[in-house]
Amino acid sequence: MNFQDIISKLNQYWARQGCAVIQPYDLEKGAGTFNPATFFGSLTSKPNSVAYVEPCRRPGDGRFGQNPNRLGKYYQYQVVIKPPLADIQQVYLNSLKAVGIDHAEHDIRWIEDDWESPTLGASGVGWEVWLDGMEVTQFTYFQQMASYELNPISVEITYGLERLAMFVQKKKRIYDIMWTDRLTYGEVHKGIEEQFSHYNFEEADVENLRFNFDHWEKEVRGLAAKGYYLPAFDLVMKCSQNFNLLDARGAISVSERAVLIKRIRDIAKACASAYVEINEPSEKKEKTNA
Amino acid sequence: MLKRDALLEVRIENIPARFVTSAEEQLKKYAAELLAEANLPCEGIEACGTYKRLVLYISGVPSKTEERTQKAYGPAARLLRDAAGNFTPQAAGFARARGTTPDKLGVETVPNKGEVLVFESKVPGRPAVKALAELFPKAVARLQFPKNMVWEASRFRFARPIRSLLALYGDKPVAFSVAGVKSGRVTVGLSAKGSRPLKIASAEKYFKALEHANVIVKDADRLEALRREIERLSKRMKLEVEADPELLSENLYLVEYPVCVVDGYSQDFLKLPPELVHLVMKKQLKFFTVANAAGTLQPYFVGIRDGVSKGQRNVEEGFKNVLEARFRDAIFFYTRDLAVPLSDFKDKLGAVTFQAKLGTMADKTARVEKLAAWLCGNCGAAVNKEEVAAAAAHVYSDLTTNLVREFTELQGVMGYYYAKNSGMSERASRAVGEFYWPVSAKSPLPSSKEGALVSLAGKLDTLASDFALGLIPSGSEDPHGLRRQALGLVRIILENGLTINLKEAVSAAFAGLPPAAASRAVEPLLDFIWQRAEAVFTEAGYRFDEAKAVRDFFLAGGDLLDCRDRVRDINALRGNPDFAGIAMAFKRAKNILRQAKLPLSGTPDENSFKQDEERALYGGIKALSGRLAAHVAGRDYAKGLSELLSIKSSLDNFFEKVMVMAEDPKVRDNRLNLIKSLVNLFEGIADLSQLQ
Repeated sequence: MNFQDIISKLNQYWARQGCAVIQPYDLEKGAGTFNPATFFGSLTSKPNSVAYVEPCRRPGDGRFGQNPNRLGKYYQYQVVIKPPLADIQQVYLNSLKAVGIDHAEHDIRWIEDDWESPTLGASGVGWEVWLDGMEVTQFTYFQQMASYELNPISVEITYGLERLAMFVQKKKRIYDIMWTDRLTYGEVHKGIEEQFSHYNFEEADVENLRFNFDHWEKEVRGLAAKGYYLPAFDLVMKCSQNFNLLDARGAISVSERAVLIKRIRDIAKACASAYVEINEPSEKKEKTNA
Repeated sequence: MLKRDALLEVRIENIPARFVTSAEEQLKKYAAELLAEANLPCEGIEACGTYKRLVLYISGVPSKTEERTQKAYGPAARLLRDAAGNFTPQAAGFARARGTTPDKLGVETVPNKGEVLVFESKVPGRPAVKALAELFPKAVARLQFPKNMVWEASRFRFARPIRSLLALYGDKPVAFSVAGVKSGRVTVGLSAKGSRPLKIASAEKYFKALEHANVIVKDADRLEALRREIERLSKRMKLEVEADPELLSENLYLVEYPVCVVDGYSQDFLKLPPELVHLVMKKQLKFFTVANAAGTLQPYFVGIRDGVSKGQRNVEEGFKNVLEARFRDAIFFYTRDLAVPLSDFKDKLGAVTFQAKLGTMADKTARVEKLAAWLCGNCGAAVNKEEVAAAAAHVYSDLTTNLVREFTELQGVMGYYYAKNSGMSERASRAVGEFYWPVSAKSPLPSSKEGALVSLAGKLDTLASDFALGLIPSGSEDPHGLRRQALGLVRIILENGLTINLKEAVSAAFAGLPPAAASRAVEPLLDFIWQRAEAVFTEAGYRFDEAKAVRDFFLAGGDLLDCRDRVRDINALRGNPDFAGIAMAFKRAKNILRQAKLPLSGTPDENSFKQDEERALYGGIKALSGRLAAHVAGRDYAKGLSELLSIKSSLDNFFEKVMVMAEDPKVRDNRLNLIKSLVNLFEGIADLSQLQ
């Protein structure tokens, strides 16, 4: 099964489970959790079921296209369901069957791994799912988002699409994955990895990154105060991406790191507060000290 | 009465080993408490579990709870009848409220209330099914886990979502609900076989039914199965599968039916340091390593999969691929590190913060180097100073290597390999590798004196650093593991027989810190170290009060080894009956001096003695003092202490016959001075008044 078929199969499968199959959000981000469908979608009491592919950028993980297992840009397949189905673990296992992985023929183990995102003020309880020893999915019951205790709870299922494809196609290098039956992942992506590694590690203009961070941070506050939480959150994503780039450029000291993370968390929270106030004004949400 | 077994299975989404074992203990305890409260007897309570089931099994439960007597207390006894002998309205009211008549009331004396009316009634037994339906949910709700979560509308808190409740008394279902889940008689089988529903006919048939579905519910049975598999493999391969207990336990709670997966890997990966191979296999993949009879790693791994051996090829191949990918990563980092001179990694320490106010790891390295050099000249042992200096310079260099940044657990361990690679001598390299030793209370110490000093220097600096910042452990709070550091320091000094003045060493450590860390808590740190020393002494069989008796010597002179010798020799003499008497007399002498509170010279005037006992005692003291001083100077406390015993009889006579607090102040002061001279004599060895 080639890469694009895997995505189609997952789309079909999760659509059958009642998910809205939406498109990636058109901004750089480190993880699918940043997509507003997940970030805002998990905050209120309104049911939510979405599935989508999300391209993710982790500038520091780039390896100039040289490492067979690491990428600075890759694809997550993200499923978010609120409230979670009672048999959600089995529903997930069946999704693997949809891409040709029969549990009876493979070992699947769930390894404790409680996910958290300090930049989003988010945390959850869950696992890494190991498929014959390879981690292919992060499975999390969100407990907090933007420092809000969530009610109801959302479950987030994040597949590493490249890992899954390597497994299904029995490839040892990401670049050997067949995207279509003729085209490889390497042909699509290697140039991106090479060029962006140079940009991420060597070229990105540190001063400019810092300037934009500061500027957008201010803008978020103003926008959130006016209730424009959507454009405000776009700028939070941009700040987060700038932070990741600064980190890759080695421009952040240990103490500054904690400070910057807190600044992003604070503006993410400002967006969340605006969203909750407008969409669920009666709801008395408990804020925690995160 | 016919007895049946009762069963509760809480099926949850996967939980880790430490959650299961603790929940089992709790289930047993709570079940016993709740059964007693409900007056429901049983013949046995068992708890067991897997990563997705917590099981409580109560055997031999009668069908009804036991009948019991219930007492209700009412108004004061005098209110039973009025003057005319009729029941009062109060008595009648109390009886009515209890559904009885006043003539059925009794009288009982109750503490603080005196005689009151009492109504005794029999509470008949209830069906066990009913009682269990109440106690099962209570037991579940009481369970505590290291971490909890919520997942459904009632916001019940538990380790992971509860997905089914199986509850039976014999063949009868026990009905209740928890977290929106209703109990029933259905559970599921092995996950790998599609978690098929299993209807359980009776509690007694549960374990068999699950076994048929390839689930070994009992932990002990599963461990046995796993061990058997591993032994079988060892025999077949004629090698040793290293059955690390921690790893066994972890795997035990990742599978319901353990099946071993064995395969080989490229011999090339064994060029990696064995510690790294172990770490990759154990920590990253939970695989068992394989070694030959000599303990040398062999290129095989044993992984554990959950369930029957269908698709065994797939799993072998998958496990092997993942392992090789991890090994390739490790080799990539390792070879890159080996290509770089160690000094380059050391240079990078300047960019790594140790703690705010305490500078970078480069600063810390410089402090450790200085302390190590100081220790070379002040440890009472001959060491190779060049090797100490060479090792001390690189104790932290591996922190900036690619490999240690990826595998932080290997700090120190990798230092050895990189030091060796840079041309450092074997002994100095080992000193680098053993810098963090001992890693636990009983684990080995650095193997050379040189290594011991380098390790001591590091511990001194770390302890002084945190004490300077006021980060002093209290209660269970010890985030930087300072107790372990101090214990390591004590063990290294004692087991290497090093003569170090820790007071000076600690002062030197504080003196090396940057001015921003202002506090110089020499006394508190010495005391902190002493507390660890006391623990070591007690562990060695010495008594707590014996350690107390020499504590002041440590705080004054800082010589741990000397204090250990004193404690040891006091302990050896403790069995001697005369010793107890001498210690007692010393205590008495000290008490007298404390009460007198005079400034005393400790030199009595021999001409002012009035009694022979005074003269005899002083004669004994004078005769002893020179010899004792020589013994103390020669650190022969055993001899010194036994010499003390020689004045026991004159001391006893003195206290028996002489009134110290005489009328005549001159006589009295002279006697006090005599006692003072005695105390001075003893105190050269220990404060024996601490002995109990």
